[in-house]
Parts: sequence; structure tokens; C-alpha cells
Amino acid sequence: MIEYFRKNLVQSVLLFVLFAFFNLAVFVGFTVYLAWSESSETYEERLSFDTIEDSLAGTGLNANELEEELKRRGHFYLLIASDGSIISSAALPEELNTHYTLSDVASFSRWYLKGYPVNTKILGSGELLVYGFPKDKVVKYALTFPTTGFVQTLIFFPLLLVVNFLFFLFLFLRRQKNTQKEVRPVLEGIQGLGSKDFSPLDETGNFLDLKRALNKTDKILKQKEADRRDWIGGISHDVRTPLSVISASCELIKNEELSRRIRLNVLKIKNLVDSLNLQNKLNYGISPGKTETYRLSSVLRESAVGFINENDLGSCELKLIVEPELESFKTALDPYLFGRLLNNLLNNGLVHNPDGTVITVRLYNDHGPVLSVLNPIDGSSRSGTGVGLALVEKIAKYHGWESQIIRDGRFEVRIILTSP
Amino acid sequence: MNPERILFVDDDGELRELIKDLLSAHGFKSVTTAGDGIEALKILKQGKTDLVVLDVMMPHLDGLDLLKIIRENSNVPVILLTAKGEDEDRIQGFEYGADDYLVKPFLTKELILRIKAVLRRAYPGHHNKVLLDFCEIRFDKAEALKNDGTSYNLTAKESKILKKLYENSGCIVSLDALCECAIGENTYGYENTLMSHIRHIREKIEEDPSRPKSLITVRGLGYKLVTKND
Repeated sequence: MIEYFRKNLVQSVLLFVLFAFFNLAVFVGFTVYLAWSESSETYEERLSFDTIEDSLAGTGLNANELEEELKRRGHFYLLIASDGSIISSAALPEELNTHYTLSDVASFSRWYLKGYPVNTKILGSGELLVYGFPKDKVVKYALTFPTTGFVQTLIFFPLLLVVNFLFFLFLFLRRQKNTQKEVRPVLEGIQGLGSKDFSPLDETGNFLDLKRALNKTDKILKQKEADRRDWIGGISHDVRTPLSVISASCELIKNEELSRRIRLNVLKIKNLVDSLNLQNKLNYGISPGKTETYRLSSVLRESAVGFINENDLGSCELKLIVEPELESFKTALDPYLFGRLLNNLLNNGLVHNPDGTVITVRLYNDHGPVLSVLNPIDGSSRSGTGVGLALVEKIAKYHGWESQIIRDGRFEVRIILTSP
Repeated sequence: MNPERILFVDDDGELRELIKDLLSAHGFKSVTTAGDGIEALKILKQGKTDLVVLDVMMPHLDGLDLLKIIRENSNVPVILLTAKGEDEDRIQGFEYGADDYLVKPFLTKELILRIKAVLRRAYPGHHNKVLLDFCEIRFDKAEALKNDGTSYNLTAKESKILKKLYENSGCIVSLDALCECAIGENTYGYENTLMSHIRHIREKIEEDPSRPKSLITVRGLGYKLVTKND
């Protein structure tokens, strides 16, 4: 989930940068468009003051040519003497052919001359050269700033951008935190779906549909699991009770060999039922217990002792060897599943080997800890469905371990254990 | 002879008869059986039961419901006997107040050992004296009285270890379980000290400590106490 939000944050920052660039591009594009648009041609095609000055000095266009050029553009010019009278002009609108006072000059040099936008230039001789444009074609806007204010404004804009970015980041992170808060129970719900860890989600706030659907799915899964357990319980009961009768009846058989043979077959069927139950459970993706970190040698001894106490080994023997350096080795495991793994391997040895067999269980180091269960004779091909070994492999895989079967006349199963 | 009265409850008549005979043959002088929960309840109301072995899946009133009723007004030890062997079922059984749990099919030997172990835990007063081959252990006085009349005091740790072995007599008790019983958790590295305790115990209870007959070593796994009652 954290990965998702991290990715989301990076994407959002990129989006923000992209957004800023997009706006800049639009702004530049619009400005260029304006510069090239029809209305801007009026201003762009203006004649320079130099052209007019050259004409006035008789070194450039003659008066007619100049007037022609100005008329074609709809522009005009006038040259005002220091006393306010017009010295010369070309294409001048009639209403502008007048005498100008100082206040007129002060006004139009900044703004408009009777509605006509104009540019002005003071010539060396003290006359004022005025270049005019048609009404409503050019906008003149004069701004006045205090010097310090203007500098501050220049700093302010980039600063505003940075503040904007930080504010955006703050809002985004806050929103993201809130979303995480709302999403977390939903995600935990999905992970714990069908298990006893799942507690119904509060059906309020955001993701209402999702929460309702999860609660409903959990109910269905739990019902399915209950049905499965009842079904298996029923089947188990129907098989196990007669097996108990057979097992108890063995006590009454005087012939030891016959009694042991029957008991071993009872053990085979019992183990098969147990394995099928557990395999069914693992196939459903249900974790039977909880994985925690344990000292493996201790769990191994407990499981082996449990096996010996619960089963009749007859003249078979179980030898357990733990290399001293692995006595303290700890690993994450589900003790119930580990017990089943060892149980299946030991059962396999007990059922498929003759009396007097010594089954050796070793925990040793071979580029990492390895658990080995060795039967001196490979008798497993005689019979068996392979369910027990398939389950061993499944349990090993569940823990992230690797299982290997070695057949060299003997039968050995190695579980390559990884460090926690 | 075991004086405790056992009630075996299972809907399978054949199994009931067999277990009754086998328990009697193993020294339980009073074994009663019931075919369902209602019948069992009637027997229990008479108050003459020291331990109940109870099947879970039964018609009319199943084992768990019966256990719930029993626990409302009785502390009689109950061993659940069931075809359901999954962890959740075991946990549920213990939550309802079971003292032990045995999954079918079982070895008669295991059932008997478990019955004895639960009885020892439930009625410690009845089991203060333990007879071994060459001595008698008196847990109430923390002493071992050898057959030749010599008496040895048991230290607190030795008593704890012996008691743990006695509660599981006839079964192997792992090294780790013994260490845990002696010092609590974090038992790693305590094995050598445990061996030293075992050696001292043997000196007190065995005729020849180098050839033990009562406190047996199961190499690499743990120890087993063999009592005369086993």
C-alpha cells in the first residue's frame, strides 16, 4: 500500500510540473498568437521614427511616399513645435489638426490623443514627433510602481509559485493520509478475508460499497469454511470411529505380528485422512495456524517426542541428531504444520520399512540449515498414494523452504531451510 | 488398581464395549459407559464420576454441548475424544473447558496414559506417592525413600522435574519441556544443567545410577519415567 501511495505522490508532483509547463506554454502560445493576429498587424507594421525623421530631413521617403505608406496602414504622424503648433503632418485625421497645449502633450504622451493611441519622440531640435494609430486598435496602459515594490514583485512571482507548490504538496499529503486511513481497514479486510482475524468493517464513510461487499464475501467464505469443516468432520468421523474400534481390537489379538500389522494399516489410513484434510485446507488457501519465530531444535524435538508418544514404533527406532551449532537456530514456522511435515515423514518410514528400522532425523549445516529424514531402505515404491509426501512438499513450500527427495537405495527427504 | 471412576461416552456401542474392557484390563476398576449426552448427564448427576472421556460427535446432545453443561457446575476432568483433529477444533474443545484432547483413531496405550496424566493433575493429593522399581517418591515431603530404607531429600528443581516426568509417566518428555518446567522460558543452554539435575535425581532414585531403570534417557529427545503403576 505504501508503494502505491509513494508512486501516487511522484505521479502527482510530475502532474503538477506538467500542469505548470502546460500553463506556461498556453500563455506563450497565446501571446505569440496575439502578436501575429490581424489586430496586432496594425501595431507591428508601424513605420519607425527614423523613417519619418529621414523623410523630414529629405534623406528618405519623400512627403508623398511617406503619406502613402501611412495611409495604407491607417497611421498618421504629426510634428509639434515647442509652442504647440503643428509643423508638419501626414494622413492626420481632421479633428487632430489643431494647436496643442502643454497639458495636451502631457496627457497624450502617456495615454491617447482624442482617442487615438500615439507614440511620441522628442527630436534633438526640441520638437515632438507623434506617431498615431487608428482608434481601438492599440491599447496603451501605463503602470507606475515604486522601485522597491517593483523589485519585490519580481521576487514575489517565483516565490508565489514555490508557495503554491508547497501548499499543493501539503494538501495532497493531507488528503493522501486521510485516504490511507480510510483504505487501510479495507486492505486489512481483504487480507484477512475468510479468516478469524477479519472483523466486520464499519459500513460508514467512504468506500461504502466496497466495505459492504467485503463483509458479505467474508460471511460467504466463513460459511463455506464451516461447511467444509462439517463435511470433513463427518467423513472423518465415519472413517475414524471404525478405525478406533479396529485399533482397540488389536489389543485383544494375542499374535503380536498380526496385531502390529493391523495397527500399521490403521496408522496408514489415519495418516491418509489427516493428510487429505490438511491438503484440502491448504488448497483452500487457509493457513491452519500462525507463523512465528521458533528455535527449530526445540520444535523438532517436541514434534518427534509427540510422534513417538502417539504411535507404536514397535521395534523401529527414531534417532534424532541436532548439530550443536544449530541448537540455537531460529526460523519462522507454523508449529502445527511443521509437526504434520515431520509426522508424515516419520509415518512414511514406519509404514514402508521392516521391523528394526532406524529412522534418522538430522538437523545439520550444509551451506545453510538442512533437515533430513533418512530411511535406510527405499520401500516407498511398494504402495502408497504419495499424498503424504505431496503434503510435505506443500508444507515446505508454504514456509518458503525447498524439499528434495533422494533415492539411492535409501530414502531420504531433505528440507532446505532458509534463515529468518 | 486405579480407584478412580471413569465414564466413557461414545455413540458407537462396539467401541464403548471394547474400551470398557480394555480400561478394566489396565486396572481401572470402575468404568461406566453412555451412548449419548443425555444418558451421560444422568450418570454425571449421580456424582460418582472422577473423569469423563467424551466423544464430540454424538446425536441428540453432542460432546461440546454436554461439556458446556458439565462445566456449569462441575470441575470433573474431561478428555475429549473426537474425529475432528484440526487446530480450531482442539482450541474450541479447550475453550469449552476440556482437560485434554485425543483424536480418533487412537492407541489404547495413549488413551490410558492420558487418562492417568489427567487424573494425576486433577487429583494431586491421590498421587503424592509414586512407586518406582527401587524407591518411593513422596512429593508432599519432597523425598525419595529407597527400598533399602535410605531417604533422600529432593531439591525444589528436582521435585519439579520429577513431577513433570511423573505427570507424563510412560511417555517421553522432551529436553525442552523439562528445561521449561525447571526454569521457565528461554531454556536455550540449560540442557547441561538439566543433565546435572537428572544425574542427582538418579543417585536418589536408582539402584545403579549408571544403569537407570526408572528414569530412562531417550537419546537426543528427552527422558521417560517408568513407574510401577505403568
